[in-house]
Amino acid sequence: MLLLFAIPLCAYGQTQKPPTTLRGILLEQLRTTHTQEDWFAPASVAVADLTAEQAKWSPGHGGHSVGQLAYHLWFWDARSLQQFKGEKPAAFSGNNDETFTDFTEAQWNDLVKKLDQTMSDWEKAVETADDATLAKNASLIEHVAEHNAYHIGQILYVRKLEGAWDPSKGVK
Amino acid sequence: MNSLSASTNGYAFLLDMYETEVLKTLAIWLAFEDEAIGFRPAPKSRTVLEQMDHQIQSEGGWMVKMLGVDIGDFQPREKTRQGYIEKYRVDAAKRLEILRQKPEGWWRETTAFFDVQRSRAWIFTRRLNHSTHHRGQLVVYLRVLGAKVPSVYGPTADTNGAVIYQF
Repeated sequence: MLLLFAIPLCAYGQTQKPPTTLRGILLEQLRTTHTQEDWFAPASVAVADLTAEQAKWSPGHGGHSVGQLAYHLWFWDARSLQQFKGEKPAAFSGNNDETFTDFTEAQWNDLVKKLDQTMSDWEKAVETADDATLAKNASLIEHVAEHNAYHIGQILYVRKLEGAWDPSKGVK
Repeated sequence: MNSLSASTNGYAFLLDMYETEVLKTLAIWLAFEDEAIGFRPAPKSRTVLEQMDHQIQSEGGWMVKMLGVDIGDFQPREKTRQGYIEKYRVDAAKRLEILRQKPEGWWRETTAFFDVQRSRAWIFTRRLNHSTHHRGQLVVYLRVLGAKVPSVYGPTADTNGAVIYQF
C-alpha cells in the first residue's frame, strides 16, 4: 500500500508544487477524480476503452452498469455546478433512481464527452471563483470530489466483474 | 491551543464530511450479514472483512503517524463484523472530538505524508477520498450478494424513495 501511494506522489512532487491553499487543495481533489492519475484511477481512465454494449452490462441484483454510474455522476456533477454558479438547476423529479436508469446504450459515447466536459467546467469554476464564493462552497466542492471517488470505485469494480478492466491501468 | 468554532475555521467542513463519512461507512458495514464477511467478488479482491480491516488499519495509521491524532490502540478486540463496527464507531468519535479542537492554522501546517510533505488539510482530503472509494466498492459487494443497500447520499433503490440511515 505504501508503494501504491509513494510512486505517484514522488512523480507528482518532481513536476508540481503541492497545493497549500484551500483553492489548490479543492482543485486537486477535482483533478484527481477527473484526469490526474494519482492513487486511484480517475474518471477519464475509469470510463475509457469501453464499448456502449460493455457500458450497459450490469452485475445483476439491481447493481448499476458503468453507463448508469457514469450517467449518475454526470447528472449530479452538472447539477451541483449549476448550484455553485448560482444558476437555476434543470427540472428534476427528485427521484434519484432516474439519475441511473435514464441511461441508454445509445448515449454512451456522448455521455463520456459530457462527463469530461462537466468535470473540466467544475475545475474552471473553482479556478476562477472569488475567495468568498470558494469558502462558502468548500463543502459542496469536496462533496463533489468524494462523490466522484465513491462512484469511480464502483465503476472499476463493475468493470473487473465484467472482465472489461485492464489491470495495467492501475488496479490489479 | 485555542479552538476555533466551525464558523471561523475554514476547514471545519472537512470534519463535517468526516462525521457523515463514518456514519455512511458504518451503515454499509452493518448491511452485510455475518455469513457474508468472507465474500470476495473476484479472486484478487479483498473480502468484506478485509475491507473493514483495511479501513481500520489505514485510518488508524494515518491519524497517528500523519495527523498526530492518537486515541490509543485502534485494533478491534474481535475480528468480527460487529467488532469492527463497534471499534470504528467509538474511535472515529474520539478522533472527531480531537480534530474539532484544532485551529485553522493547524490544518494549513505541513507534515509528513509517506515520503513527502503535505498540509494536514490536503492529507485529510485524501483520507476522506480513500474511505469513500472503498465504501463505494462495498456497495458493489452488497449488490452482487443481493443484499439491500441502505441510504448513503440519499434514497437507494431499496429504501422506497426514503432516506433511511442506520445510525
